[in-house]
Amino acid sequence: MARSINQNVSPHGADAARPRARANVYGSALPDFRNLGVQLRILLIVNAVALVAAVVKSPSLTALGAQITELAAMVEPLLILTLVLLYLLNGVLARLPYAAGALAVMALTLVLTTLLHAGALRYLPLNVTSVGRYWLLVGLVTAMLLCYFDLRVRALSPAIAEARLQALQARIQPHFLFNSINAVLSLIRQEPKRAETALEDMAELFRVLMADNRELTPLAREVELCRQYLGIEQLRLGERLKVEWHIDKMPVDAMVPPLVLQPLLENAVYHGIEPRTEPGVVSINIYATREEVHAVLRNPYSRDRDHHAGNNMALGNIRERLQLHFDAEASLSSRVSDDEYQVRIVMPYRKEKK
Amino acid sequence: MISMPLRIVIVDDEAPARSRLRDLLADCEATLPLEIAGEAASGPQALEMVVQQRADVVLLDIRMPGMDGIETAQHLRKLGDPPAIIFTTAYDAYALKAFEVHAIDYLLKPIRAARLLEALTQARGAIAPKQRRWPTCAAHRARRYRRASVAKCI
Repeated sequence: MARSINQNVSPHGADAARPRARANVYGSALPDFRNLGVQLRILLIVNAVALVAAVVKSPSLTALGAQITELAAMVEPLLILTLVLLYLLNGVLARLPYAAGALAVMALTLVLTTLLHAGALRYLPLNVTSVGRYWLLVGLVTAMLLCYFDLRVRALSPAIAEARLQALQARIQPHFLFNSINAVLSLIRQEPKRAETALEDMAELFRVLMADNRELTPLAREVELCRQYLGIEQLRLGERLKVEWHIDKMPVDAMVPPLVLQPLLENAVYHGIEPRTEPGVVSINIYATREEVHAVLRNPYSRDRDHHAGNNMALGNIRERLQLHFDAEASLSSRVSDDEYQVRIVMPYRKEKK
Repeated sequence: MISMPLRIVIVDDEAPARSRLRDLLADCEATLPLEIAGEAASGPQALEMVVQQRADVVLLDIRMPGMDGIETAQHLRKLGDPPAIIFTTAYDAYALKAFEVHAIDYLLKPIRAARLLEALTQARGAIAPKQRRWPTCAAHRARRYRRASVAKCI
């Protein structure tokens, strides 16, 4: 299983990881054109440039509206067509070396410009000038975008992004370690068998906590890890900790960042169960829609007893890792009601490569 | 006087932690005469237990739901003849606060038997002078509430 994760080359599963993997070899890399965040950035930047051009071209403020409309009629079809083609060709482009890929993108936009220009000349009553001017414009904007994405990939370059992932991952809560060791010690004399199971669970958990956790992992594995973690906590807390799993509709083959749920459970226990004298329920609900995986965690909450500093740190950590893996396609939100705290994670549904 | 066993109350909200301390105290018993006067799972329970059982030493967990160990210790200090307090905790962030409430010692979980013995020996040293000062009272202590007996002697 570990091999298949490391060799993560499925068309969907590795989309987020691929630009970084390519960047490892070539230094520069094309962005993942199937990523929503990348497409949004392209849309925004091109439209911003178009707006600036309209302002520059427009003789007066009153004429600006007409100028924008005219430019949009030229820019938007080209932009949308380019995005669709880049989406379709993403796999092919990804296999090319960076220079060839960048040239291919440039050629694609210029060819599209020529075709659209020819089409506009023929069918639209627009005042279109020679194609050379559009080539220059489109070429400049494309080059600018390629530079931007290249810089962005470098900024999130393997060294930095992976070091960040590592650093984010490595935070083992010391209180958890010592409390669990203490709980296991207390079992050794009276219940050696349970102590064995607990130590095995702990070993498993710490193996993952200390592992190189940069690659996505199957959701089923993460859930197993959560069960082991909760087993250890159950030793200490006994009746006080009640766990409800709602995972019948869980997509077991979905690929998720490792340790995306376990720290949230740790929070739920630390902030939701430990401060209470009466028993409390931690509930975990995981389900999938066609394209998204939802994980919802709930734990009891009381305003007066809670302290939230550590909690926010864990949430920030997971949010950042989700962003590094999925960019704008994943989200983490939390909500506090009168007596309940809820965290919801939404991730793109990427299947494990069989 | 030295042969009188130390009466110890264990306070921790987690059952395994209490069980662990019981085991450790059993190990210490060979070197230092002691008996477990009671166990409590919360601060209020601990206060009741200490008064009822006239405990000499309280092994007190810090992070507990409701009344935490520090607050419990503040209440214990107000007793007429307060017991020696030894904190037990998995966190070292509380050390300063712990000494503000005049704890005898501060033990980090997981606790070693040798370290516990050291703390208990220190606690006995702190308690012994009290016992010498009121020798006649010591005999009654077995049957009376601590606060009442102290008032009588004074």
